[in-house]
Amino acid sequence: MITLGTALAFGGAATAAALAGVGSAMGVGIAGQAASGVVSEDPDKFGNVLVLQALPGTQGIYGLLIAFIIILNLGVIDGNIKDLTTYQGLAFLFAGMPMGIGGLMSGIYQGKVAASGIYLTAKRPEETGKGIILTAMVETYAVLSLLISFIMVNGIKL
Amino acid sequence: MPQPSYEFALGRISALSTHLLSASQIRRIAEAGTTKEAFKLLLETGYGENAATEQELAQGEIDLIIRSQLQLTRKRIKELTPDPELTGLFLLPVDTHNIKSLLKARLLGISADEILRDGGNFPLETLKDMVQTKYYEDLPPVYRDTLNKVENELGREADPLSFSAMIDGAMFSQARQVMDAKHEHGFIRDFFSLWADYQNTISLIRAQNLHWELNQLRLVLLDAGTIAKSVFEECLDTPPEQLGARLNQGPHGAELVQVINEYAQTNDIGVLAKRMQEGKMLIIRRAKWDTHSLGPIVGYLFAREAEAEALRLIFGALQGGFEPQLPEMYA
Repeated sequence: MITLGTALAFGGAATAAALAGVGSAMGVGIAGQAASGVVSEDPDKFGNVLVLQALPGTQGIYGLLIAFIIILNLGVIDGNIKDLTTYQGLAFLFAGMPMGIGGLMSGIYQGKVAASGIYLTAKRPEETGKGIILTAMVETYAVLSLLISFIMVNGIKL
Repeated sequence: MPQPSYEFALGRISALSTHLLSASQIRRIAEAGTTKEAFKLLLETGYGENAATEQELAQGEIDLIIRSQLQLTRKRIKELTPDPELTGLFLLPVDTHNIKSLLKARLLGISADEILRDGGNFPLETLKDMVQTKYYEDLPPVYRDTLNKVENELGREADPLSFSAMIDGAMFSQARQVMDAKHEHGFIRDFFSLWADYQNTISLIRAQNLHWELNQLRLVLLDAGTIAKSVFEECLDTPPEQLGARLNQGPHGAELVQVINEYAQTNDIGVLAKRMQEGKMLIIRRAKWDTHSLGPIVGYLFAREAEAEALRLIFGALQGGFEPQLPEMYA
C-alpha cells in the first residue's frame, strides 16, 4: 500500500510526461500536415521540412526527462518505492507542472510556428535557416519550464 | 490524398505559389516584340503546366493555355480546400458565366462550347443537360427557383438583361445563404458585400445614363450589400455629384464616395469596375496572411485569375499592335 504522498508524486511525473507529450504530438502533427502539403507538390523539399517538423518534438523528451527524475527519486527503478508524506508528494506534483503545462502550450505553438516556417521554406528554400530560428525561439520557454521543474524536483528533500 | 486541414492546404498552396508568374516575368513577356516571342517566353516559365495538348501548343492558342491553367487551378482549389462550401462561393462566377452562356446559346440556337469554363461548382455536362432539358431540380434551391423563373419569363419574352440580372442575383443569394449557414462573418462576407455595393452603384449610374425606369433598376439591384436596395432606388434621380453623400453608408461607404467623386470628374464608368476589382483584391490580400483561414487559398485563385487577365491583355495588345495596359497583379 503506497501513501497519498507517493501517489501525488506519481501524479507529478505523469503530468510532466503526459502534458508535454501531448503538446509535442500536437505540434509535430500540425507541422507534419503542413510538411505533407509542401512535399505533395515538391518532394525535393522533404529534407528541409523534416527538420522543422521535428522541432516541436523536444517538449515530449523534456517531459519524459522530468518524469524519469521524479520516478528515480521515488525509487521505482530499484524496486523500493519510498513512502512520501503528503507534502512531499504535493511538492513533486507541483514540480512536474511547469514542464507539463509549459510543454503542452509551447509544443502546440511551436508546431504552428514550424508550419509557418514550412510555408516559408516552400516559397523560399534559401530561407529555411530563418524558419528554423523562428521556430526555435518558442523552444526557449520549454527549456525554461524544464529548468524550473528540474530545480524544484532536485530541491525536494526526502 | 486530400486532407481536410488548413495546414495541409496551405502547405500545398505555398509550394504552388512559387509557380505564379512574377511581375518581372510578366513585364518581360509584355516587352516581347512579337506574339511568337511572347508565347515562347511564357512557356519557358512553365505556365500551363503542360495542361494544354501538343496541338494547342502548336497552334499557339494562348486562350486555350490560359483556360487550361485556370481549369487546373480551380480543380486544385476544390481538391485541397478544408471548406468546400465557402471556397465554392468563389467559383460561383464560373457557374454564373456558364449558365448565362448556355441560356443565350440555346436562345440563339448555337453551341456555347467555345466559351464555357470548366471548374465551377456544377459539372459542365450536367449543366448543359439541365439547360437543354429545362430541368433544374438537381441544382441548389436558389438556382433551381431562379432558373425555373427565368424559363417562365423566357416563355413569354426573351430579355437578356432580365435573365442575366436574375442569375447574378441568384449567385449573391446563394453566397449569402451559404455564409449564413456557415456563420461566416469574416473576409468572405466582406468580399461579397463590397462586390454587391459596387455592383449596385454601377447599376445605378448605368440606369441614370440610360434613363431607365425605376422598375428596370429594381431588376438589376442585388440584395447582398451593406447598403439597402431602397437607397439605390431613391437615388435614381440624384445627380452624380450628390450620389456620394447619399451612398456614404456602411463599411464601404467612404470608399464608394471617393470612387463616385472620381467618376463625377472623369465621367468614365470603367473607373468603378476598376476600383471594385482593386477593392476585392485588397480584401483577399489582407486575408492571405491568416494561416487558419481560406484567405491564402482564395488568394492563390485570385492570383491565377489576375495573371490570366494580364496575359490576355498582353497577347491581345501584341496581336493588335498597341501598348498593353497591365492590370494590377495580386502578388
